[in-house]
Amino acid sequence: MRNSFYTAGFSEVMHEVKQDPREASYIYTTTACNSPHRGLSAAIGPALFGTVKSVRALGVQLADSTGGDPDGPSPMDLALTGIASCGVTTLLGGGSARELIFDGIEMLIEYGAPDGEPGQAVRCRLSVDGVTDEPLMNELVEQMQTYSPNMATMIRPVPISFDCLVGTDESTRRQLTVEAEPITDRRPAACRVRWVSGTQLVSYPNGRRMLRVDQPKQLTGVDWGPNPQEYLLMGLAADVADQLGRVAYRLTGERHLWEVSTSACEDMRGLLLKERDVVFLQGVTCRVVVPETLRAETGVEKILTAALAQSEVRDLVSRSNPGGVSLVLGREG
Amino acid sequence: MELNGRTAIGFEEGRSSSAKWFDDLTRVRFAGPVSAHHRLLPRELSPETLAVHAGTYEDPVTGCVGTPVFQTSTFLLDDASYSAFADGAMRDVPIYTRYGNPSQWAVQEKLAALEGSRSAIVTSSGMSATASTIFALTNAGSHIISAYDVYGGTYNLLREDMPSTGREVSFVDPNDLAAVRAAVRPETQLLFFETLTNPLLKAPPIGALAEIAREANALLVVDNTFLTPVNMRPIAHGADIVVHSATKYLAGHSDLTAGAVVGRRKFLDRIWAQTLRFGGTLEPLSCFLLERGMKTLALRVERQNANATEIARFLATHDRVAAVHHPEVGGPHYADLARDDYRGFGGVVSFEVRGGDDAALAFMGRLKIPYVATSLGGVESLVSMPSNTSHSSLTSGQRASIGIRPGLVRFSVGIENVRDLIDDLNDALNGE
Ligand SMILES: Cc1ncc(COP(=O)(O)O)c(C=O)c1O
Repeated sequence: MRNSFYTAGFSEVMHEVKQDPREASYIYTTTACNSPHRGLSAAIGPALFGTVKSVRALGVQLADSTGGDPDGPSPMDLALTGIASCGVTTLLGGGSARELIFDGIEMLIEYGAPDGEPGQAVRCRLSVDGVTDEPLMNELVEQMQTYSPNMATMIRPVPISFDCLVGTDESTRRQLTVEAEPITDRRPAACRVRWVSGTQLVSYPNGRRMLRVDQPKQLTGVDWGPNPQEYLLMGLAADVADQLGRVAYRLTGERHLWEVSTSACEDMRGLLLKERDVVFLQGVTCRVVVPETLRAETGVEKILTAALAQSEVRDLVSRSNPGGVSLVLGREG
Repeated sequence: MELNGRTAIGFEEGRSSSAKWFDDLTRVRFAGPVSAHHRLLPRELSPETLAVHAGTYEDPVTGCVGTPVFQTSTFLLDDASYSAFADGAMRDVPIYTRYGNPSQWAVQEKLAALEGSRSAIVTSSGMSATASTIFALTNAGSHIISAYDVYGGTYNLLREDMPSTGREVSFVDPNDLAAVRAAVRPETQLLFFETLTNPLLKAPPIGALAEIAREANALLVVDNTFLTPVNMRPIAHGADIVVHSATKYLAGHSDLTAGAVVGRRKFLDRIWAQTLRFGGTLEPLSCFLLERGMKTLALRVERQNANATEIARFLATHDRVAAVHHPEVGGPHYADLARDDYRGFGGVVSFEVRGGDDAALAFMGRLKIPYVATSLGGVESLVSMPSNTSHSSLTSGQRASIGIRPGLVRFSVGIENVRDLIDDLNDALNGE
């Protein structure tokens, strides 16, 4: 298979989506857990691709902002991995459809780069080896930025619906509103995301443990790791859980177990059929489970408001970030 | 050498070099693979006609009647082959027999037509079909629901190979819909049941199981070995995938080992890829035998339905028989049976000989016509006891808990004259 990419399989998914819009709706769920004993972790839940379910037992142990597991990736690393790997996979798929053969594709994605342009949260540098036609590659990069679901999610302002409940008590569920200033004081993060084969990629977050990215076997992958959408959603859940733990400790001096779940729909008519209005993630939700052990008088509202306001991944998803992509052809270094 | 018309219908139309994005890709494969030389017939035709004609390779060179045996392991490479490699469309061009062969395509199309579906694969055994299907359609981390009295080979696969590959399995009574529903979890990805069970001939409601699967966004896979598409087309009742031990009725002559999977190409292409990685290909000569056997499927099964029903009724009146398990003689299993869903119940009758396993073994020894052998679905009657074959690894307590009581005999009725069989049974039951 060209680039080990299953073009025939994608062609069929495209026609299926064209014939039956129900098959276009890909729903992802992820969870994050910030435990006083086991640190910060994130995992994926069952995903639904149209009418077909995919269940993979995949998760990741993370560095939290209080210094636990310093070798682990951070929540922002997960989000950046999700964005860059989605871009690279989109580029690879688009290129494979055009019958291009790549020798290598790598994207360096940087958040809050100290030498970045003022106001720019993210910048990306894409290196492509094996294809020398620059105008063609520029066209593909343009398509990547327009139709990659996660790049579009970063570039456009995407609404996130937040709610919370106490423990498992459904009657306590309520919506949360986030009124926060744009984050300008960013903690820098960067990942180098490299295409391996087919839908498999690896992400190297600055000196931390590498992450494996893949599509599930239902979508022509081999279950080698969570997929790009799952990484982005895990990043959001983990960042919110991390901030909740940090803010709650600062305000109460106590450590609690925080659980956060996120979900979103990827409408495949965006990527595959170029329907621009639905390219970015739809219906993004984020749910916080408030620990039952947290006493009401400790100012739950204050914790929630401050934690959400300070989540950089939330800020990245919900605001417009025209992330510039620069292109380098040929092997780097 | 110029090669004409050997690729699957739809393959050439799917070769595009002008695509600029996914939406320009033209490959659509919802059926087959079948080449233009394979006989395509509407699924509405009766099983008798489909069994004879569907899928036959109509050889444009010799005009022979019937599919030739394409006894080769490999095929000449041409542009179509290279394009198939580049796009990942190797199921649509004969390249190498483990990937595909016109002999396989012929018998696959016959079976797909009989089951009223679009695509099928044939495999080297029923277990190969089941294993490839289960592995292809589940991920490590998933949950499967099946029956505690599912065929022993399937049970062993689920019990011995799923834990180490990250799948969990819940075993339930397939007739107990509340138990099936209660077993569903968010991770449930696949329900695996049989349309008619062995040896007690439970006939679980396939439509209701399909409904539970749909609500759980899980797939319903059914083993239709015991009924065959002549007696039921499970896909019409909502099943997603049908598997067969083609060793049994489909081949019908107890002379080959084969399996099959039927369903939409969306799933079948993945099961095909799994099968070729596991290496469970069906040899061209076996494809020929299977295709030839299937031509008489409807005739044989109709006769077996009738013979088994008559034998079950006879056994139900015999005082040396403690119980008979067959839908036509009733019993608590069948209280809610939707009889209109079945054209018949196949050739198996199970019954308990009074006096326990020793008496049953002696009874089998006195039979003159049937062979004492395991397996079923052939033209010849076969008889065996679950307690010393398929279920011998269970304790007597475990056997009792799944309804296998002492003296249980499984009779697979063939196409012989039913009076001869009944006389033989009568003599053997009455003998000392
Ligand atoms: C219901 C059922 N399914 C599957 C199988 C396995 O088929 P095979 O022996 O062809 O591998 C059998 C074999 O007895 C069977 O009875």
